[in-house]
Amino acid sequence: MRKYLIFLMVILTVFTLARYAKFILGVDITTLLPPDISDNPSMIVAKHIFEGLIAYDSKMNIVPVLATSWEISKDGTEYTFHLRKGVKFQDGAPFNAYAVKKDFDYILTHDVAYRKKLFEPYIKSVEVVDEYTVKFVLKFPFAPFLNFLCHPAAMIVSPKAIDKYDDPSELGRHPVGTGPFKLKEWIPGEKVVLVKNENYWRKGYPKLDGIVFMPIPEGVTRVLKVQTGSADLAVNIPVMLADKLSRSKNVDVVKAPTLRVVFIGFNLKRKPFDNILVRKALNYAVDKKTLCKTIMRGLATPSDSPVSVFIKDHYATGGYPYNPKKAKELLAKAGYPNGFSVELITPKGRYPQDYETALAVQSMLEKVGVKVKVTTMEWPTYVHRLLKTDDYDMYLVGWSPSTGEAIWVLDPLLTKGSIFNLSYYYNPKFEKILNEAKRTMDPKKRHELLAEAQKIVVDDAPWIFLYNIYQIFAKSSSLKGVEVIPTELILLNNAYFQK
Amino acid sequence: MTRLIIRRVLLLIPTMIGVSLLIFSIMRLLPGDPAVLVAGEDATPQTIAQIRKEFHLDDPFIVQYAIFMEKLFMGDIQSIKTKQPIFEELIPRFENTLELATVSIVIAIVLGITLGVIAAAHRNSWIDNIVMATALFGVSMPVFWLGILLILLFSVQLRWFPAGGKEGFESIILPSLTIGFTLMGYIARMTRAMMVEVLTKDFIKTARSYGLPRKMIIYKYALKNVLIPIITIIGLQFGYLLGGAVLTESVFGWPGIGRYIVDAIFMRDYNVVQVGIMLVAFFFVIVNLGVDILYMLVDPRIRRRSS
Repeated sequence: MRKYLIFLMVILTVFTLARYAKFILGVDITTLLPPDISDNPSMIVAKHIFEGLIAYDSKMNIVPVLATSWEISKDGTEYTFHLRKGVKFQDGAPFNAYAVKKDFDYILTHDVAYRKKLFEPYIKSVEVVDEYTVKFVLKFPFAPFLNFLCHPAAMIVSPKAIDKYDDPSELGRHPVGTGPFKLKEWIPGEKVVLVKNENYWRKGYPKLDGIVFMPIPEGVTRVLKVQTGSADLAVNIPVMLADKLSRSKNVDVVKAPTLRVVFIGFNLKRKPFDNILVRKALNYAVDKKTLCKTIMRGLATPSDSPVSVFIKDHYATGGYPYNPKKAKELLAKAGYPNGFSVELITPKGRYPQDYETALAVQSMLEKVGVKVKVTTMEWPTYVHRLLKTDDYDMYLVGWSPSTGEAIWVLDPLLTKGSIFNLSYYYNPKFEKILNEAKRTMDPKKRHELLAEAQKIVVDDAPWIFLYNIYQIFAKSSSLKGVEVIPTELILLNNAYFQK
Repeated sequence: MTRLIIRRVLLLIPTMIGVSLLIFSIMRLLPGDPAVLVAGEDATPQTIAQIRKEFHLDDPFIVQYAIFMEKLFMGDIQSIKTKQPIFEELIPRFENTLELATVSIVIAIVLGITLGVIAAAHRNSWIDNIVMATALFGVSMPVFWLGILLILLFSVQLRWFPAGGKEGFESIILPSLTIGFTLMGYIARMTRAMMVEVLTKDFIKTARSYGLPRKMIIYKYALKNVLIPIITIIGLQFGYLLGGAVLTESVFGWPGIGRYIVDAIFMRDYNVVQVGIMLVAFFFVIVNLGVDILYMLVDPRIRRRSS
């Protein structure tokens, strides 16, 4: 009898010590080849298997990972990285300058890689200086290059795996990195199981024995999974349930900043939005503070720039504080004393409370005499209408730069000829400053240029600047050390369970 | 019977071609570009163009269709979104759907027929009323609502079963109860109606006049005669279930084929939708063939007529 008891106790201790964290995603992952990932869930899983030379921390600082230090040449075309020694990939291949070169050569030469265009336009060559020194030679000076290397797409894949699988879709199924976890099992649609990498270079990490990722599309079910203790973390909690959930024991609801800015754009090709006074008037007419407080339930902060407040180069312009009286005056001055009628198109459920926000804006604009018809449609149709036609007056969109810096906001959304310039905004002065910023290596000078660029955009008001959103996720209170990167990544690389 | 099966299997070919053409055209009539959706929110135009090229999205309709059919027959058709072979993703999900559909239909049949027979045997009594009210409740309850109620009771309050996902045997219980309960309603109502009718027939009166036991009359003579219509609705429902129970799958995070196809529609992943719908249509036809064979096994009159 006693023997059994001891046996049972041993089993129980092993069971409690050997713990996997259960991580609930909203949708299934697609691939685990870093440069081929275009969706957030796959990025989250990949961030546990792979590592890059450098990465963002939770405050958006650039920190060394597989590189220990780096130098940038004065003219901004050469980036030299000194690599960490003694690191091995999960298949035993050594990590060194050759591995880095092989990885980037793969990205640059292979046909299909969703994120190839993050690197191809800039990188001329990747050179091995010595075994632990690698040099990126750029085609021209490009200031945000370090930020681009923080992108999950720049995480290094084992050279042995590249030789073995070669084809991107095969490599995407057989991920081998240097990270704290390695892939054990992947059943499409059901789960992805990662186990501890016993040979991980950071001593003492990871503390978890593994992670099980499971997709559950229904928000309520995700919440209940955590509430009942059958999962440890769930992403994208419905805004409406956050309050109730935070009151339940053993569950923490975590509110974390993101780089996503939600705005309502005007089509500048159309009347009356070709008139700057009208655009400014509508900006004054929307009460962003109330939107954040009521519709978003505190899960957003008003924005006064196209760039998120959590991006290093954000500049607080002051924006357009709520002032319906001024809005009416401006409308009258623009020749619309009695307002006008327009259509606002919006997705529904793509961003938290998107449709609800559109309806609230509708009623706010009504107060200054502008009649808004809100039309919603499913996402593919919406994207089609925005990208393939110019048949719209106003549109609601959210943007989060996956590179985590300001240029990947200003450049695609607001320069002439870009497909994402949905407002058809054009200001030559703005573009000149932006181009200068791209080539300015001195961070302080660059910040000044980017601040100037943001001021110009806000002053031209091609959008109604609405808010920055937070992401909320729920986790069990015993799970500690969860790391949140504002590029919408939730990481368990340092996480552990506390009894 | 063999001739019938061969004929029906041959008929599958034009059916499948029709289905493939139909779904192929519908997908291309929908607005939305798979390349844009798949490339992600902040992809460059070059990336989008590359994906369009890779999946022949700029080719004429007929060329696209030919490429699709060729790849389908070679078995190397890929999802636009994940770039993985579709069958590798589809088959595990279809197995999950099959599992859920089977357990659900078994629950529905056992409960439905039992309740239907009991109600008919006690026609117009309080038992009948209670059973029929339960059946009506099952029929009219929206599945997602019932599903969430079941989660609240069995996962949150009692903690018996997991709230969602597919983790071990106990995961299937709540979703299959949800579907089974709804279908049970249909089957019970149908069984009762047919039984009530059969019980007034002359041969039943004859059996009664012989003094046969009531149980024997109901289960042996009456029930056999109502099986045909019941098999028909069970077959139909099972066919629908093989297409995936999208709402139930969503509520419970059950990795089935319905949700997979719906997600693919929202991504305009043409290849996945086409192959998925064709697979579902294929099994729908097969199930119907199975039902016809079952008719012959159950009813000697049909057997004799067809041979």
